[in-house]
Amino acid sequence: MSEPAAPGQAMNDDGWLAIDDRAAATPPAAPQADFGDGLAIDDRLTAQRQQESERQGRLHEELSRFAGAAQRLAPPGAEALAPNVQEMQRQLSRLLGPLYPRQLIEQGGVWLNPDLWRGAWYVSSYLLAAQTGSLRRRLAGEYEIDDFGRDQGFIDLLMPLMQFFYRNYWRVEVSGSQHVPEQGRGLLVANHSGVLPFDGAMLGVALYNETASQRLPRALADSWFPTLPFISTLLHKTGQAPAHPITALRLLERDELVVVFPEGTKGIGKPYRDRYQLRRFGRGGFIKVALQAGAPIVPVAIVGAEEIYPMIGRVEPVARLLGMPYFPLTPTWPWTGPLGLAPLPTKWFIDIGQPIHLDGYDARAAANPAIVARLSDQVRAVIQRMLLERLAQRRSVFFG
Amino acid sequence: MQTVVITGVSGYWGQRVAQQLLAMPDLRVLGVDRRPPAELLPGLDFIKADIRNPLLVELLRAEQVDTLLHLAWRQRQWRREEDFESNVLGAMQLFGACVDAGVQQVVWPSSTAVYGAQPENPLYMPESTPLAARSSYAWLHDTLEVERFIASFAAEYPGTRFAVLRFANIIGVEVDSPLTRLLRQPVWPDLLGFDPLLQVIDADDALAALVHAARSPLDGPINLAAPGILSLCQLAGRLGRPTLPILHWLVYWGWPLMSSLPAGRELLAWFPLEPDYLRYPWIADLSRMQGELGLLPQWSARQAVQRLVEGLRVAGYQAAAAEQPYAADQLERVLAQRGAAAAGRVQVDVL
Repeated sequence: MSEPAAPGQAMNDDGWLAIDDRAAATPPAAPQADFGDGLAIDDRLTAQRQQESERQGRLHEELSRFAGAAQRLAPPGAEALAPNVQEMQRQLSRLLGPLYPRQLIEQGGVWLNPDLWRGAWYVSSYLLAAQTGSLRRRLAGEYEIDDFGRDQGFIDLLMPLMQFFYRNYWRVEVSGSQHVPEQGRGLLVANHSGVLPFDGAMLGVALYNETASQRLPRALADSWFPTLPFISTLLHKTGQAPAHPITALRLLERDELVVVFPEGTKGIGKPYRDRYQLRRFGRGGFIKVALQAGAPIVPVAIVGAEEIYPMIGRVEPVARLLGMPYFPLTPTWPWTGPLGLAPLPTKWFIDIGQPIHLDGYDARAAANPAIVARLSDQVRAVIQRMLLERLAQRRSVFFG
Repeated sequence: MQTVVITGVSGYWGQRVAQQLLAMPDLRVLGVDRRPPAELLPGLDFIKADIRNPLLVELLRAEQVDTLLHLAWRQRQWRREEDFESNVLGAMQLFGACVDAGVQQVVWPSSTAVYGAQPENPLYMPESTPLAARSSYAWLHDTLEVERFIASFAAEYPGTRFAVLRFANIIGVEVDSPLTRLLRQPVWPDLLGFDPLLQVIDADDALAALVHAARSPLDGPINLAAPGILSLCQLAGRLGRPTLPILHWLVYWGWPLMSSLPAGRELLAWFPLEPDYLRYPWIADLSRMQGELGLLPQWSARQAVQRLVEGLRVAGYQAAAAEQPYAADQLERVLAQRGAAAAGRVQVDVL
């Protein structure tokens, strides 16, 4: 402010140069070598123009190829309605006469290329036809669901959103994916957390992305979730099944990958201060199922999910009133309404451990509570150790 | 020569099963019903009697009956005293008479609805699953009572086999089942956000299973359904029927009041299946059907629905033809069964 303005430069009140003047204030360009030689400049301009027109020519060629390719894609009937930019220009010039902004339109370049608009029309009419076609088929019930209600078309629809959460939101890092059996049965046992079961969804996406055979596992969901509207439909459409030993055994016998969270609702609804402290592993039902089906147990530790909704309290009366296993209180829920449903963008790690084979036991061991309890505790200890190992390396909750 | 008795022979299933069994040369078929069959069944010995008639035990003993198919059943939404007496008490007395008369096997069609549609249920329920249905509807209530009676009664009398065929939703153009009643409505009730999984079986496959059960030794409950499952919305889409989604808690909350008022009961005719069955999956395990019974339905769930869709489309054009009495195909069947030799003295034995 104290510095005086150079002569010929306007100065604002606060002493900064006005933007327009800043351009003027830049030093003039260095004198060119062929200064004063008009021919050289003309040559260069001609060469530039030629280059430019060649580039334009190539572009128009590309666009005409694009329009041709798009035309083959388009549904019948789209051709008759395709926009003709040249004809439009002609009509416009006839209508406006001398008012027609010829100069402006000639400079329009690629944006007034008729092939571009034709191609765009064909592509959009193709997309519209494909979308309405698939919507029509869906409304007419012409889609297949598998023996557990999984709807592949629905999964394909949902996958981009899940991938966004996986890659961009929680930036999931997976280690040990080679331990997941590429084929055949397997029982993945993981810690459960995060109030809403996003950990199951992310583990599913992780296995889909990281296994060569793109395996989509099936998680076993607590019987509370099927009582909720939309969530119940979402669960069976994405291939999850009710948590029942009979269902689990049936899935394993079909050589599926089954995900269980033995902590159940005690785990998913655990308070923030108890994060990464594994709860009781139910009654060890998952061990019984693994023994009966002869499936290897793959321990999984999920770090990051326990902080997405820091639960500071639970309201038991409200939970009882709404028939929920718990009613969580977080710093944002329920005070901020639907905003409180947004999970925090923590950094996630999914560590997959070495499979535990239970070959030493026969199916009869499943009936022995002592063996089942011991095995269950062992698996729990393995997952707890994996969690602590990852937590020891983690510097930040949000940046890993 | 085996002797088979069919109760409720004048009903839809009774007639169809009797037709099939009469075509088998090694069987003698007796039909029992309170009213004579609408369609004449040559070769059938018809006995006009109620199933609660105490003299029935004498008949079973005198005819040395091997198998009894109990198809007399009244399928009504709301309880009526006479239906209950016929369905539950009638079945109990009849089964008692069968045991007394030394009948080898009793076949009774039940429903997979007896397992109940509950969130705690496994997705494929084997026959050993406890019967957890809670129903205010008469047909399901009565079915459960008879199921529970058979479970304890069969344990007391091991000499008689009780084959309980638990059918999934039987679908067919002429069939009257809770699901087909739902299917016929122009707009279906639907619980918002729920899309339950269910099983179906084609009426012809159900018929084949009944006929098979009448001829081969079977004991205990057995689930029967077509392979493959469907969701309710998928079914509505394939049949081209719109659904009206209602908030589920509104339905559950209004249910006790509605079902206690006569006017409300009439409105609830819109719900041939109770809300639980529109909310949770009810899927039965078919391994016993495929393994022990060795019975594979001819049509998968998808094909059965397709047959129904096509049948319903055609049914609209056939109404007049179906009502003609003594249609040509029936006479043809009579002649075929009598055989060419007896063609000269065709007489239709009525009662």
